[in-house]
Amino acid sequence: MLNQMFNLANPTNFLRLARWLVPALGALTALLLALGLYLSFFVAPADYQQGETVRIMYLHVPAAWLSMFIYAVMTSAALGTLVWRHPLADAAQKAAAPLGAGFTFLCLVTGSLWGKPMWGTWWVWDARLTSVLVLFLIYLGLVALWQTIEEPSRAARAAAIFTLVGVVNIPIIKFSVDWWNTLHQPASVFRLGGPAIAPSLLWPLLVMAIAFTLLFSTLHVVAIRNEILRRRLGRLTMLAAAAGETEMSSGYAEPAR
Amino acid sequence: MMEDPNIGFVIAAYVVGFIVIAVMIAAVLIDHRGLKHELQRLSARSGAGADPES
Repeated sequence: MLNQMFNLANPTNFLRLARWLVPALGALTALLLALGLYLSFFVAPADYQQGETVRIMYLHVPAAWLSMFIYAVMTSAALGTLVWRHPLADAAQKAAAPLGAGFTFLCLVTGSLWGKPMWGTWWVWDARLTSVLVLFLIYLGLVALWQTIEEPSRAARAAAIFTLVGVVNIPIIKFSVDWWNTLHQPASVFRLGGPAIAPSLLWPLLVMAIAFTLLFSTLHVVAIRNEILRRRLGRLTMLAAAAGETEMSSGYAEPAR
Repeated sequence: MMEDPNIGFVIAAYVVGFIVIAVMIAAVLIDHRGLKHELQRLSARSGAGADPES
């Protein structure tokens, strides 16, 4: 397993893998997303209390799960950068941050659109909502950090440390509904004693959650591939610039037209 | 389904979902196309001509 991981650390091997993995994952994502949407709209019944508003859950809950899952992926990538010096770990971390921001934004907006008709308000400063907002700000901070520090290895170390500091927010999000008295309902799927929601509502939710996870995986592989190409481009540009300088100094530079 | 008084919130949530996902997909694909194009341009200038993704 560790050997395979380090095999993939070779960018050429990763690019070769991405060539067939991206279309395969993309096709599977499209298929499951279509099935999930069909189940959410045409098979799952309306809730006896929430009515049709319950259908927002099929977007909101997978986005919420992914917002934390992506942070877990970034945390392992941060450890890969700082501890194992895995050559693709920083690329994986940089590639995941904007996707994490996207899914967290989706979680916040869909939660707000559910909250208005159900709670009578778009937003409350309760522990769950506030900690997810903090997660969104952490993602934005990480994206900004990568943009601000020019030298990639310094940016990678700074982002890795920032990510490891921010991971403290993940258990706060997960257990906020148990630790504090919140307006947000407690866990109803992953809890002791099994899921608290009816199977007719649970199955579409699980299919959508798998579809969202596959969507993230596809986009993450493409984004890591982009980072590898960006590094290659940077290296080639520097080589071209250096070659240009050598030509200039030896008097072989092509005159400007 | 459409007679539910809150259906507008459901539609709005799915529209936002569609937009956010479309923007994420478009962003990575446009980035990929730009990088590939730039690498091909550099390779052509240096006469290497290799596939940037190999």
